[in-house]
Amino acid sequence: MSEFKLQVTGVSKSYVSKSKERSIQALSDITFEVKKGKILGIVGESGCGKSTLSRIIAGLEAPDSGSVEVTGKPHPVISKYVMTNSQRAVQLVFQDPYSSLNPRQPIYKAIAEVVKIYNPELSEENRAQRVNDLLRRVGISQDMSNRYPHQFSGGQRQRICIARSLAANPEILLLDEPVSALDVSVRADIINLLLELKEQFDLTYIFVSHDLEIVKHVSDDIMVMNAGRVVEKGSWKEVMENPQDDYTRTLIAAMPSLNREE
Amino acid sequence: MSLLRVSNLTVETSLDGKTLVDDVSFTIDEGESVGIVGESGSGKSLSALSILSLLPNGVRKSSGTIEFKGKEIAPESLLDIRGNRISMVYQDPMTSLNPMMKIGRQIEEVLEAHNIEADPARVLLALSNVRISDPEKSANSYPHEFSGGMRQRVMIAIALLLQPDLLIADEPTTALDVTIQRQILNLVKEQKTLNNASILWISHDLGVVAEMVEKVIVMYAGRIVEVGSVKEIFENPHHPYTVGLIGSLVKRKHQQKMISIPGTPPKPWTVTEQCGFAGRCSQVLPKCTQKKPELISEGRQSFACFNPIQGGL
Amino acid sequence: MIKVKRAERSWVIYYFKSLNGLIGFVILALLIVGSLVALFHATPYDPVAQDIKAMLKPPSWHHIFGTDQYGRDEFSRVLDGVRRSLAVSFLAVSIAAGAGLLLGVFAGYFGTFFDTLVMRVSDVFFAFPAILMALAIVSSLGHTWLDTSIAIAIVYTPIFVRVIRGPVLTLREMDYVKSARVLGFSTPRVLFKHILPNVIPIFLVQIALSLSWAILTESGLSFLGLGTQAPDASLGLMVSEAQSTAAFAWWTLVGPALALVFAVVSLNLVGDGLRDSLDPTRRSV
Repeated sequence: MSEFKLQVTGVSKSYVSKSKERSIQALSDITFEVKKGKILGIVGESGCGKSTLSRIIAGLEAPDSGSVEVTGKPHPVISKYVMTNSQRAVQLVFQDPYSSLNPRQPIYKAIAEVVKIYNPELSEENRAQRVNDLLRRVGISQDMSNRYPHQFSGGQRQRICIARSLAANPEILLLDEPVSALDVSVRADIINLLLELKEQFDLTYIFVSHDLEIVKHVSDDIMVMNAGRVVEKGSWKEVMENPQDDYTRTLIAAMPSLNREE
Repeated sequence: MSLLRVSNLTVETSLDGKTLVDDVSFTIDEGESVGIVGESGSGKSLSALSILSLLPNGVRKSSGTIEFKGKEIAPESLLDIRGNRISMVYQDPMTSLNPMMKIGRQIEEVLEAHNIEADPARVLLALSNVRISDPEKSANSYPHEFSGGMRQRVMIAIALLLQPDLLIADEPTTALDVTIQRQILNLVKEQKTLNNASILWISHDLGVVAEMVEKVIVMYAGRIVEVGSVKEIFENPHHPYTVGLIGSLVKRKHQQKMISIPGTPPKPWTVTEQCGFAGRCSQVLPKCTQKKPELISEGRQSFACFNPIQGGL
Repeated sequence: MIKVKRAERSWVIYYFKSLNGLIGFVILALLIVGSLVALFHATPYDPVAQDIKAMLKPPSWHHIFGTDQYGRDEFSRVLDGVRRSLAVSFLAVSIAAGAGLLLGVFAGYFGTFFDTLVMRVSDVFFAFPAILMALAIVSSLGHTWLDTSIAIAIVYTPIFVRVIRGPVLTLREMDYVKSARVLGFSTPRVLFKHILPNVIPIFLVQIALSLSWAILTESGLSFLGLGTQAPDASLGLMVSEAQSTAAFAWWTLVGPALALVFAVVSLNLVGDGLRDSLDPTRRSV
């Protein structure tokens, strides 16, 4: 069944809340698949579990039960005690561009570090070329490559993070609210960039957001989450035009309604 | 006579005189709802805070006048006006309420501050007006027992308690989930019809603003760049920035390129002698970086641009 | 070949733009020079050489700081005392900082059992006032300068652990550290390249502060007779000895006291300077 890039089966996760001494079921029996080259949009409001799900898919956390498979193989959880660098198939772009880059590393180094691990066969010169190529593709000019993160704007930093993820030759790119922390006028640019890069690099995306407008525009398929469960799943057209679940309908109705025709 | 008239408002940093709000003027009539749209650094929040003299430390109003019901707001009358004739709702529901005081007590406090008897019935009525279930239990609860949406309802209840003439809402739904936002928007719309209060709604979300107001003011880099009714702004925008903002709302073909504005908003004080949008504008002329465009009126619309877009979308 | 230019000015330049840092550095440099002079036995007089004929002489050209009741040259003794203070505190803080860094990083990053163990043990240490603890340790170990250093090191290690562990806990949750892990970076790489560099600023500032406290602690111990023993020179011991002579020979107290003040203040100022220069948000230029 490796026509599916990603297969998530029966994933559940609960946390014990220290203050209230009860367990919170963050995720209940989450099952879905993503085909190669497709974009899955995961949408839900705060507390629905989408962030927890992102972390589990990326491997930052292990589920209590269930499995995550990438191209048919189980996706390993990231151990805290790993002694060697390893290559990972699922890469993550975070929401906050202000904390996703090491403030003490010039951006060139941040990306070169990744290239060294994922393309170790490259000579130093070729590696430099690859870094500059990646930066160019995300719209950052070469002569800014020795600058530090704080010298860039939020939108630029997000581009750099995208370049860094691409340096890992990922099979799946998980985007967790990639534009929510950016200024409104900058968001469209980043969305356009992401769509372009997907075509260029033939990637599979998982786009997690609370913003149904953006998810609707970007996704091939949409999955709606509420209170730790998948309440609706289908192609974007199906979900938006013919929602089956009440919550999905509430979500659609809640969107500010000034959609004019182009 | 307008309910509120802001004329040539300029706000700058106290320490080094950096301009944050540049010569902003607008009016709000009785019963009218006006929205200010802009992103971070546009000066929209500071403009609103100036009205009630609530500018934060380090920032001050350096020139301009603010007239309420025809008279400039004198410092002595602020105590009476705040919460009473003009009230405000803020963005962050988590910090707007005193965590150590019960909800009911905080509402009573507002009444007492304006020398009105703190009748428990009034408190319960205020809570039920904003559709908080079980007002009595809620009045006896603490803020941390409430969700963000509920707290924002309480804030609205407090703001409308004394039936103000003007309600200023500064990004009140930005921090809320979209379904909760929908509830709050509906609630405010309902209250507006009941009270006939004027509303000044501030947001970065043009979609939300368009739903709530009749007149839209677009701000960019500390200045007003366009003013018009909702219909006019959407059907016949003139300023390239407005067009860009609308572009993000327009129904576009699935997965096709969205209309975007390259670059980032500049700091207002760096563009005081030119058009603030020049650095990102697709219609930029040499003139745009040399002179500051003034607001030109065209019918009831106005815009500040040397090379405006004509002919509508 | 792409050369990566240093696009950012070195923090050292920022350090010297801080007035506090500059003054602190200058004073500390002078004190270190003085210590070296004492180390190489180049002081005007032998610090322990007595000369009863010259006892309790006020400051003069022959004896810049005057002499004490045994006719020993105060200035030479002060230099030697500074040497001892700096040596003891540098050694003590090196041990404490090294151990604290290791334990703090491990406790903060790996958490769970290891963290609980380290924190509970630190709590025990924190329950005692520093000087009392140092007293207890020194009483059981001995009075050599090495013993004193170890005592102070043991007392200060928990402080370093705590100072390091906090930021590491925060850093561990930062998106760029999570990114590093998702990118498959090994734990050593994450620790050395992403966590440590962001902890170094606080670490250095804490070192400067701890050095000043260590000097005071060593002086305190010596004052009480539990550190450096007579006839060796130690600032604390000299102050203790001056108790009987200060009333009529002010220089016997002022000399060592001033030296102590300068040592402590200079290190604090250096700490300020480091704080100002290493935190990008506080830089003056």
